[in-house]
Amino acid sequence: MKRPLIAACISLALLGTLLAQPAAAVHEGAVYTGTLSELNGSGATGNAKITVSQDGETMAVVINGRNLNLDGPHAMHLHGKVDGDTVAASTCPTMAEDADGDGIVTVVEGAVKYGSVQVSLTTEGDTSGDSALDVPRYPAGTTINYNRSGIDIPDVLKPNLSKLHVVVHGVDENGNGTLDMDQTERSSLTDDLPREGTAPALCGTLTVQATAPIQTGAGGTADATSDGSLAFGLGLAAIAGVALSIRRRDEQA
Amino acid sequence: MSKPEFGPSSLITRRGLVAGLGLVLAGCGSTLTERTTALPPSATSPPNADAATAATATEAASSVGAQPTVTPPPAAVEPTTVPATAPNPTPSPDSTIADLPTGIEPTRIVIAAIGVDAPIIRLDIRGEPEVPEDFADVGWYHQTRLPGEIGPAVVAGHIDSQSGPAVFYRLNELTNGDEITVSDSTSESRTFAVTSSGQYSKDALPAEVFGFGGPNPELRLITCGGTFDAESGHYRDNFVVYASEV
Repeated sequence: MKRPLIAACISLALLGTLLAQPAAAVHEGAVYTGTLSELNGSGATGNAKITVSQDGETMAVVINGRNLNLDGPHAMHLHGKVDGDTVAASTCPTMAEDADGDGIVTVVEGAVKYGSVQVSLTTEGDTSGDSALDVPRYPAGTTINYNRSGIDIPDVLKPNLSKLHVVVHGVDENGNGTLDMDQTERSSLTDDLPREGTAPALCGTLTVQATAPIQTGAGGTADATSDGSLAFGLGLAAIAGVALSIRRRDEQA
Repeated sequence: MSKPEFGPSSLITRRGLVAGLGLVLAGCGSTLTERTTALPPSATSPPNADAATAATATEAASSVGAQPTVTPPPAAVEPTTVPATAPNPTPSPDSTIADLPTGIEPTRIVIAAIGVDAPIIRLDIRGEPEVPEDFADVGWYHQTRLPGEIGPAVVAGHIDSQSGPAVFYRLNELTNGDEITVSDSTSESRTFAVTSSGQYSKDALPAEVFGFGGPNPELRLITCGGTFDAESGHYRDNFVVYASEV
C-alpha cells in the first residue's frame, strides 16, 4: 500500500525537478537589486531594482542616481557577458581596466568586465541594443529617477538577470559640468560622441533578493524562558497532532 | 534540549509519524505544488517608494546650455541634433568569458568545524522563500550564483526542528577562517573560508545578505537566530555567515 505511493511520489518529484530545470521557469516574479558605484570620478551614487512580471516576459526597472557630475545625457544599459545561451557571472570594472592609462575607463575598456549591451534602458520606445547610443531617449541631468515597466526581456537573459550589470554612462571630465561635444578624445564606440559622453559613471551588479522572511527554525531548541508562551504553543501543537505538525512544517518551518 | 511537555515516547512517536507521512504528503506535495503555485502578492508589488516620483527623468535635462547640439530634448522631440549612432556597440569583449571562474551545482556541504556533512537540495527564493523540508538538509537558492561563480551563492538550513537541533544549529560557532566545502554530484568542489557573520531582524534583513559583495566567489549561509516567537512559530532573526572562496 505504502510502497507504490512512495514510488509514485518519488517519480512525480523527479518529474517535477526535471520540469523545473528549463531556464524559463525560474525567473517569473523575481526581484533583483544592485548598488551602483562610481567610476571615472563621477562622484555619483545609486541603486537599481528590477521586478520581473508574473509571465516572465517583461520587467520593471527602477534606477536612482544621485550627484552625477555631468549635467547631460546618461545612456543606461544592462550589460552582460553572453556567450551563446549562457551568461557568465562577472563584475563591474575598476580603474584597473584603464588599459591605455589615459585616466578614463572607457565604455569599451569597461566592457572587458561587464560585457556588452544587452538591454537599453531608454525612456521610451525600443529597448534593444539597437538603441544603445540613441542619446535623446535617455535620462539626463545630475539626478536620475528612472522607472519604466514593460521592458522586454530577451530569452537568453531570462534565467540570468542576476548576472547582469547596470551601467550608467556620461561623466564630466573637465569640470564644467556639461557634455563637451568637441572634446578631442572621442568615444571608444563612435566618433560622433565625445569620450566623456559614453564613459561609465555608475556600475552595479544585480543579485536576486528575497522578498519575504526565510523561516529556518521550528523552535525545538528555543529557550522556553525567553518566551513565556513557547511551552503553551508547543503543547497545543502536540495536542493538535500529526496533521497539524505536518502543516506547520510545510508552511512555516 | 527536550521540553518537559514532550515525554520521550511522544517525541519518538511524533517524529516517526511526521517522517513517514512527510515523505508522502509534505515532500511530494511541495515539490509538485510550490513550484507551480502562483506567487504571493509580495513578489509582485511595485518597485520601491523611491520610484514613486520618478516617471520621466527628464526634469533635469535643461542646462546643457553651452553645447546646444547635445541638449537632451524632452522625450517627445525627435533626435535630430544628437547622432544616434552605431547600432548595438558590441566591442567583442566577451572573449574573456573563458577566464571567469565557473561554479558547480551543489549537492553536498561539509563544515568540519561544526560537524556538518549534509545534502544540498535546490530551493526557490521567489515569493515565500522555500526552506528544506528535511531538517537535516541544506538548501541552495538556485536564483543566486552557483558556488564558485563570481558573486554570492546563498544556502539556508534550519537551526532546529520542533524537537531538537537541526543541520545549522551550530552555525553561530563558526569563526573567521573556518572552511566550508560544497561539492557537486561528480565530487567537484569549491572551498570557502568564513569572513564574517551577522544577525538581523527578519523584519529588516539588509540587502547585503543577498547583495553583490565583491569580485570573488562567495558563499552565504542563512539560519535562524534570536528569540522564538511561539505565536508565529518562527524565530525573530536570521543569522548569516559570510564566506569567500579560498
